[in-house]
Amino acid sequence: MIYQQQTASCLLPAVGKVIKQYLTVAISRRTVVAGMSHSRTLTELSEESGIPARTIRFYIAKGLLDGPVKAGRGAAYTTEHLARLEKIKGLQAEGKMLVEIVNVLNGGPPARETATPSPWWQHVIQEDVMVWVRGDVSPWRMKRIRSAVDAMAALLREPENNEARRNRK
Amino acid sequence: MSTAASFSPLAAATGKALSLSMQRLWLTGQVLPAGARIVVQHVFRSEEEKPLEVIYAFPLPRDAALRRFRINGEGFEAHSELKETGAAVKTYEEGIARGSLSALVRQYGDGLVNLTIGNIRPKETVTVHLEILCGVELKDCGFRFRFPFTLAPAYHPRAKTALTEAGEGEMELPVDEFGDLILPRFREDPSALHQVGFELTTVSQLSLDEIGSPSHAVRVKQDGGRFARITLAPESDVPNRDLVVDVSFQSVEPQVLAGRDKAGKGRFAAIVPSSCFGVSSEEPRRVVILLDKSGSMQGAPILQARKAIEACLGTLSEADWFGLAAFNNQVQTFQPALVHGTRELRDQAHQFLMQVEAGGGTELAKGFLEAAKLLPGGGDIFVITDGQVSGTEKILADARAADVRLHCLGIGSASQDRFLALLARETGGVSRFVTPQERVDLPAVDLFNSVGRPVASGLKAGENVQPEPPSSVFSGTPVLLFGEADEAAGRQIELSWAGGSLNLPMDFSDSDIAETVWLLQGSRLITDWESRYPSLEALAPLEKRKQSRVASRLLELSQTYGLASREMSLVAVVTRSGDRAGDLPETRVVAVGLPQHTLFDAYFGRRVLSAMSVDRVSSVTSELSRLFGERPAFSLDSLRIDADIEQPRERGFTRFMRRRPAALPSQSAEDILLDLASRMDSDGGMPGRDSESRAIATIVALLAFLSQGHTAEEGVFRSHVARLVMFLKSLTGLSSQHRRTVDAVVELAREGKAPAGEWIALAHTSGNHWRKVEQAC
Repeated sequence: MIYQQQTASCLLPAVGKVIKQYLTVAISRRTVVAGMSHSRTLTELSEESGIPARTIRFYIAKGLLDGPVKAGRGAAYTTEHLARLEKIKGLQAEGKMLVEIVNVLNGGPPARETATPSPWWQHVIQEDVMVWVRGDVSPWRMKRIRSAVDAMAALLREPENNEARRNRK
Repeated sequence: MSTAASFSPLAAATGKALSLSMQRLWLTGQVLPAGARIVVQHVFRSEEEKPLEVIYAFPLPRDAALRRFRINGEGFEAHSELKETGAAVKTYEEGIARGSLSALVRQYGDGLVNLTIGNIRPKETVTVHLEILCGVELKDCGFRFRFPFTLAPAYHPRAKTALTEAGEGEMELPVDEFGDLILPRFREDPSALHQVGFELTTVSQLSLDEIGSPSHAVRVKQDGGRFARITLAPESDVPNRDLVVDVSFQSVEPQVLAGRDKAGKGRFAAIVPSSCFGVSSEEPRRVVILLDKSGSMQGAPILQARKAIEACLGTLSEADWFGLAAFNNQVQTFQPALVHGTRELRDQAHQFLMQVEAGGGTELAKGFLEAAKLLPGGGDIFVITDGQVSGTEKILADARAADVRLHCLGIGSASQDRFLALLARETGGVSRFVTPQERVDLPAVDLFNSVGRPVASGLKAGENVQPEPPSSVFSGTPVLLFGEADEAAGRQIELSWAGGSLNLPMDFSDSDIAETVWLLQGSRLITDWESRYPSLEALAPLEKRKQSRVASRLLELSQTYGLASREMSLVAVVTRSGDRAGDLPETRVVAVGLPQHTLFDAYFGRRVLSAMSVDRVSSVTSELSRLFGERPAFSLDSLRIDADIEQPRERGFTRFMRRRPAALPSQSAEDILLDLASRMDSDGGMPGRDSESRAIATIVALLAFLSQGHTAEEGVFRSHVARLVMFLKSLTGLSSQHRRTVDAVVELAREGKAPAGEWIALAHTSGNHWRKVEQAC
């Protein structure tokens, strides 16, 4: 498609610089959107952004991008759409998934991303007792936990009558 | 066959089930020993109020290419065109912009495909019939056909996963490698997804023996000869695993499928069993066993793989050289160089295997490159893996450069069959793939028997054969040849190799087969070239791609055979009255079921860590119990979980594992045979105090193998049987009575039969069994 554009200064030469500054009229074969940045078709948006048209429709369906400013034959996309696509590309390059980007752009809660794993130690101190201890706590904390687990294990190892005797005391 | 279908794709924005019904996915077609010609029927139905665009992602089977599709609905039918991918995408987009029903089938790296169908009208049903040519896994005695009904998440160091809704997850692959490929959502519970089913026929030149499926309940109708019909027994099934069909022949003989095409040109496909080339040499082997110890191998697979490796080591003699390595993100090697297969070193290898625990990612290339360092003069690597990796073209490039032969045993319910078959073939090795329902250990031993000892080397065929045949032939795996012939070329296929030659006559009277073998040849050639096409190169701008040798070749092959590739795609646009230009269709992505035996949380959920920890720890517990014979006193240090699972780039993959039985079932006859195989000494005999006790232990073990149908020529344990016989023949210093018994047993082994007796039970118990053997023989 041949894209034709004329500025306000061409159409209204007498109005002067002020109007030229605030009003841009974009004319294409398909649409005229006044008061907005110049419009483009989906194909043109795809070419400008380097993102395939199918992917753009997918983004719209996912809520990453608004639909065209007008439905039907005159469907048009604006500079804001282009800017949004650039932003999505940037966030993807930062390693974000689309589900995360939706929330970043729309200000929603973060995606339920797969949790970063952390090591855990399992401490079986009796046949029927097991203690789980997170493995990446600080050394001082680990020392404390370890002595508590040891104490608990020692307590559970004692014969029941010893325990009962101590309780009576 | 049922026509009722209920399928609910998910809204891309909300993940909620939509009123769109897609489908069912139904497979029909013919499976031949040389490959399959399949039509996959996809039924889409829209219950929406506006036009829809639906995207379905699926992996290609092994050696597969897409030929064409037909799209139909009420009052219309259209056929696809094959166009250069850029032009096909443009045609599709123009059709969408005009408001016309449009469909595009486009292939990406790793053999992944997006089928996109846009502008499905409200309340409309549209069916796409997609024709696919694909290969089969060949054995001398039959073949295995495998078709993916789902798509497995696979390891890629830059892949990302996220839980989007309860029971639903998403995965994204890097755009610079995979372009605009859209992956499906993965659903933990596949029961509400599309229905799948199949109705296949198979025909062979040899009489068919058994037909069955380890993956699905099937109904088989055989005509008693060379034809059979195989259908899904229930009305339909869910898309959470590959379809696997096994067909075996009653005899082992060459088959030549030949016919004349419409132009009068002869086309053929030949399957030549390895037994036509002779037997394995007895030269010492140089082999490295490489075990995948990534998280996905956790549970029964790693235990079975360990047992299998020990049994494989039992086939090694002192003259053989072996290495052993295990990989996930890191590679552990048993010794820094190859060592001889002595009893002492095999015992040390056993200790090494015992401390191998599954966990972490699948850096397969790192694994085989490290293993290749143990083979500076070349040799064979035997890999046991589930092959769940992405970015396979890069791995294949590394494998070719490593200058070693890779033999792959794959395990899994969703197909990485295509990749592992390529990995083996492109390096000159052979491959097998088993489902999680099957034992890993027996196929491992079976495949290992052939590793390192080709039955023929330097194989050559005439110029009319394309692609070139493999340089080496391995026991149990036939050679598949495709080619064309005219009168000048004669009516024979000529094969020659170091020390032998073979001529196979062709009969071109079956003209129906010509087109099929021609297309199968094309799909095989395209797959080979696709595997040499790195994604980064394939996604380059057109001007740059034109300079690519692979791109040019793929384009030429696609045009010649009329088959799609990454360079050419299939597209159709149906112009109908009432098309409304400019309407933006709603895009929907079809969800698939996570492959059976794959734990959803391991990829997408938060609960994975605790689940994994429990399994890992219980695994450690059982090992310690085994080593010390009692419940160990646990220390914190002994239960530390590997720190490597913390690497952020591995999220999702480091922790994936499958829900499999934690322990192996009670000992079967095969378990006892595996145990015997792994206990064999490097001279081929069973261990014992003196030569008399070794002799009787060896005799009982040999009779145990023979009683289960394993002879020196046939069966999984054929190498073990041959070595046991060799040991018995070499025995000296026996009493005359025992000598007679030994000779009688050797004669029985030559005939391949065992006398009646509880030989399995006897082999499992120690004691002096001379009398029992003498009575039986």
